[in-house]
Amino acid sequence: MRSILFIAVFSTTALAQEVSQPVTEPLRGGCVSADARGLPEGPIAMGYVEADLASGRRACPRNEVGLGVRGLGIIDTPAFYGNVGAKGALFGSWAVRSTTEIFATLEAVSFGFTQNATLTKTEITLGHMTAGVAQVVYDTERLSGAITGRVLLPTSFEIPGMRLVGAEFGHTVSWRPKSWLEVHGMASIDLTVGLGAARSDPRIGALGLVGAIWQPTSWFGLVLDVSGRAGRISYLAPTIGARFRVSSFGIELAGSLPVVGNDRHDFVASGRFSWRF
Amino acid sequence: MVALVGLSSACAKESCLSGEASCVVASPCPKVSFECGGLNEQLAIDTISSTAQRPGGWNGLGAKGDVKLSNAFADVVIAGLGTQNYLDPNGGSILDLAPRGQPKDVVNNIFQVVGILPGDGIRYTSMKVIDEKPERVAVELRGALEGRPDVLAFTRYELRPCDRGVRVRTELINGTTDTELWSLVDGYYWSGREALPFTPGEGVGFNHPSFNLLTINGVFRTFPFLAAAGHSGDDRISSIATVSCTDASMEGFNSDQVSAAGLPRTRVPPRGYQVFERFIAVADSKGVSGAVDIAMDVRQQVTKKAHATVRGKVERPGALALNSERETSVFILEGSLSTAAEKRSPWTQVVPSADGSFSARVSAGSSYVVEVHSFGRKVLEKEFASVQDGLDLGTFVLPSTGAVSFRVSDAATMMGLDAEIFVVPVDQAEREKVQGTLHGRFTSCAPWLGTPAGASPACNRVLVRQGQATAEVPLGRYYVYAFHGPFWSLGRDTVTVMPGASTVSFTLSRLAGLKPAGTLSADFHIHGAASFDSSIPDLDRVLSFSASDLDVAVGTDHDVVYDYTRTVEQLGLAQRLSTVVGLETTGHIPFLFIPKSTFPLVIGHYNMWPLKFDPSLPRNGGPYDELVEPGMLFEKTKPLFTGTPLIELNHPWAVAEFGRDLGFPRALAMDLQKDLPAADDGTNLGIYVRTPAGSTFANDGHHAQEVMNGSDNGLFLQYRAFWWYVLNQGRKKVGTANSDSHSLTDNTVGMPFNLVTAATQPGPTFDVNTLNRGVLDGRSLGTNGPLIEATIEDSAGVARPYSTTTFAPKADAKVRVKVSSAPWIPVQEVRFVVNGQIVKTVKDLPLPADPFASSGSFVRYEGEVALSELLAGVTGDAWVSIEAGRPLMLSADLGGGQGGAFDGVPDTTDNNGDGVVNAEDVMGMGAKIGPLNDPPQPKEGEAGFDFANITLGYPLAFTNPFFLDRTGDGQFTAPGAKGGR
Repeated sequence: MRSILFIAVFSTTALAQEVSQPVTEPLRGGCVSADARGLPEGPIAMGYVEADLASGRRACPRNEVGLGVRGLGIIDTPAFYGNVGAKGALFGSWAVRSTTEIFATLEAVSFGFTQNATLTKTEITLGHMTAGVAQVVYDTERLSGAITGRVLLPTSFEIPGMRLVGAEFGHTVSWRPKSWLEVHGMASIDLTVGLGAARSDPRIGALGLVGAIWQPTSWFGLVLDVSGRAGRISYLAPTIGARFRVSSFGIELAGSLPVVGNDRHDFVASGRFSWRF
Repeated sequence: MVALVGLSSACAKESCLSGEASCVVASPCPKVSFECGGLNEQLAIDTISSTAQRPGGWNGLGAKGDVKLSNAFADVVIAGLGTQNYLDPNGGSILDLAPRGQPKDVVNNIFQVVGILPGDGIRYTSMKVIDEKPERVAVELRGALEGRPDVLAFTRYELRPCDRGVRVRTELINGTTDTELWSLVDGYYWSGREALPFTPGEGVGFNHPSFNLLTINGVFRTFPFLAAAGHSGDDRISSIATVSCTDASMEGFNSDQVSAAGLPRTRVPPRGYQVFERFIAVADSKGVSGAVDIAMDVRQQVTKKAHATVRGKVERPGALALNSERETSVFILEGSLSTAAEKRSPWTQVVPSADGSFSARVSAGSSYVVEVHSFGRKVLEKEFASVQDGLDLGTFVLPSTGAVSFRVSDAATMMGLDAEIFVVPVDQAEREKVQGTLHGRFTSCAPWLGTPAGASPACNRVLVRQGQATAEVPLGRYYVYAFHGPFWSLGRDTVTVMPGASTVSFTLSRLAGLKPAGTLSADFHIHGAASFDSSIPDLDRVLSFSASDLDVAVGTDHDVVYDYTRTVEQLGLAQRLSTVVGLETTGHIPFLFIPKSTFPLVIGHYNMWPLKFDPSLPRNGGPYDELVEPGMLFEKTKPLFTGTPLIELNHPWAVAEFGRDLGFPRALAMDLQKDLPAADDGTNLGIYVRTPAGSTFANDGHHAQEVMNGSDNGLFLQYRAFWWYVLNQGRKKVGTANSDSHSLTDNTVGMPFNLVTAATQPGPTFDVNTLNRGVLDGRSLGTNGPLIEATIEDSAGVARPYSTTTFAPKADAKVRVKVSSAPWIPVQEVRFVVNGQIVKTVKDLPLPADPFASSGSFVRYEGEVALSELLAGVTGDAWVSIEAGRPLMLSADLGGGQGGAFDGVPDTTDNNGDGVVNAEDVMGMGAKIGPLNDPPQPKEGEAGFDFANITLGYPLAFTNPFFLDRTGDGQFTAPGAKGGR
């Protein structure tokens, strides 16, 4: 906990010093100097809610496509309840300019298994889709920051009779004090609402995330993030991940667990395979 | 983001799916309509204010505060808010559904749930009565899942002028943050021995896959409708059916205990919702066909699938009647004669009218087999291809039976006696010829004379009123017994039933001097059709009391107070038979957690009497018995007693049914090897002794405990073990013996019974307070025939009978014992019990030469035993009890406690007969204990053969204990779990 606080305070101070420097075209700052080709960057892209909503997003644009899988589970034995999900996602991003990226994620396969006492049900449907844009707003030798916007599109059949839409707005920052260390953070707010016969039940949330990557070589990195969310679902959750690179291909394996809040997940884990081009 | 909110709020919200307080639930089943000419002015909705408004029928429950909807065809009662019944936690369920104005309610409870846990039920918290006559009347309820306030629930029950049933719409919204699994269904609580669920499907009909709470997910099926009808065997039955108003099928499961019919199991993420619309039909028919016809009509309107009406006729030369299920039950099954029976799909079941004619609706265009069942067996079948509307199926001629008249008279007066006839095939070959079931359900009987759970004739039994009864009996050769209780001789005749009429006559004798003076025979645990799991009509129920020559019958119907007094008067028995108003509290909603267990429990069953009968109140004035520990239940019941209270712990170690324990000690998984703590110490035993907050009663505050339950003494060894345990703990709980009869078949009323020494007589002068004091004093013998009289001399030399009064025995005291019985009730041994151990057995007692004798000596044993011999090796105070009857099976505890631990309760008998009880006696795949078998049924010529044909059990009696103060401190000090050894 002490190390988390240290990182948070340190990064905030650094941001205050460097954020005043103007963004220039083309980028020559942290986004370029930190380029490790296929190795994933920024916070671990794994959240607790729909698709990649309310999850960390890197600051620097890149061209990339990939496949990911995310597993989430609640095992509440005293309440005889369990819910396990696995989402198979396609994701990609395109740096339309050196400072601008558009990106999207589609949960092409959403598998769910829910147990209520001894009653069980398994379901496979098309899952959620998000699309968004990130705009770098500052990029110095060591510090990069972007604003991000993301919308949740009503593609999912998971909710019978209802479609879910949403939007997220945030700011993400990356600071590289050392070649082997990146500190990152993100703050965002999001809103989801239901469309359909039933009440829309708008749910708003705010996410704060800080984390760091220890990257001793160009082909390996170790990530520790801590995210906190306020809203209908709240949590403070550490997330740990390992990243690998083979040429232009990247692999990210991560796991997370809420330690505070009303979120009931007992595990969230993900694996992502990407190709940067 | 603002746009998103605007977009969502612009969407039209359906019905109450908005969750808004001002919403109105949409009218259910808009595609469904009925015509009824000029009958549409009978639409009404009322809040029940008097008993007269309750729809009649064996399951009528409506009480003050409930809401009744009526039209020309149906009466529907919705439980008022705060009225808990059975599995409905707080009202809002359907309590009664009957054809308009007719006493034919076969519904216990229809309620909405989304799963099988207590938290999956809906707790309604507001109710709105909607009177929009002449178009409709309705009741709208709002609430949430029990304990999950974020899952909002809305239900509307609606009746229109011509509806042949009630329209229902339920809406549920998941406002939680979790994805939930819902099986949004109506739960139908049949509870066994009552209405049976019927669904179309290959090899289904009335027969559904068995399951338990762990395997229930595997027995969900889809079906076009669910139907059911009562099986009380009289005219007070109807049929009901439920069918979807939106889809071609429903999903659910079915059993004799409970059915579920509704939407498919669905994962419902946050913000998800479900809407379930169905029509629940009711019809005045004995088979399911009446309601099925309506369901087929609704289905045709909803799905456009056409139905066809077919007609036919049944005949039987010389038939007494054709219009009951015992004589005639017609099934119409999709398939052909070449289709294997298990592949045919039953669509409906018809009981013909009095002239044998019948009609029914089936799906049009298919091929069908018509099966005719009679006396529990299929007797005819015919095939009909490509069935279209209006098809005449022709005439079905049933095989002949014998119309047998039974005559039973008192040898002393030659007056007719109330009696019970038992018809038993003479051998296995005869048995196989006549064995039958009610469409594969309930008990298998040979011969099958009628629905086992219903009116006489039931199974192989016939009630005789004032010496006369007539019944149709399948052709065969039988032993016919005439029974009038254990103080009378038993009649037996061997009869060959031929086509046509015949008469079998018996003369029975009261066995002079057998019944001790100053005693009453009393059965403290009896159910009738008022219970949710019984269908025996009141007249037959009370006639069975008289047939067993009972002095006192305590009515203990499940969860409802019931009074049989009027029926006693109606039968002219008030001068010699007394009934007592009581009830059996029955836990339905699990809530109690014990250490090392994650499953919630109920507290089992308790009998309580005498109570006030007030049919204008919920449960006829019975207490709210859910979600409370026994001590609090006793506290709640305290103001309802009308005399000296008696609270009895029933079947303390009975096996749980459908996850609901029947006995509190077994629910707690008590370890009888350990002594009870003085107060709650956080253990299972601590829960047993603790006093719940707000109560003046401890959880073990009952007065009596069943030691014998049921005519076959099924779990006697376990009940006795628990009784011995509490006696060793210094709890002077009076041991009782009761039939727990729910019908003529499951147990015979008064077998066993309590022989209570009390200074009162049955009839007009009967005083229940005197009876109860006799019981509370321990002046009671539990028996199914053997009678034990015993005394021990106290320090003053006075011969003291057994009682709860502690006394110091004389130094050289003797235990004097006399055992008597009717000749047909063999007593083979007498056992002496001290502090929970059998310390002496007198074996191989001589047996009567003629079991059907009506005179001679009825004394089977008379002798005395030195008390010092019995107390050898025992230090401290002691209790002494005496047993008599047949030798018991050797038994032992091989585990079976919590986590498989030893618990001091016998669970396995010497099943391989090698003289020891060990793992080699255990039977069953993967089993580590059991079974706990009864002694084998005697063969013809062996002692007890005729007794077993009546009771399916063996002779047994036990006295309540003598409590001996051996330490001279003037009190009885608990010997402890080791019995002072």
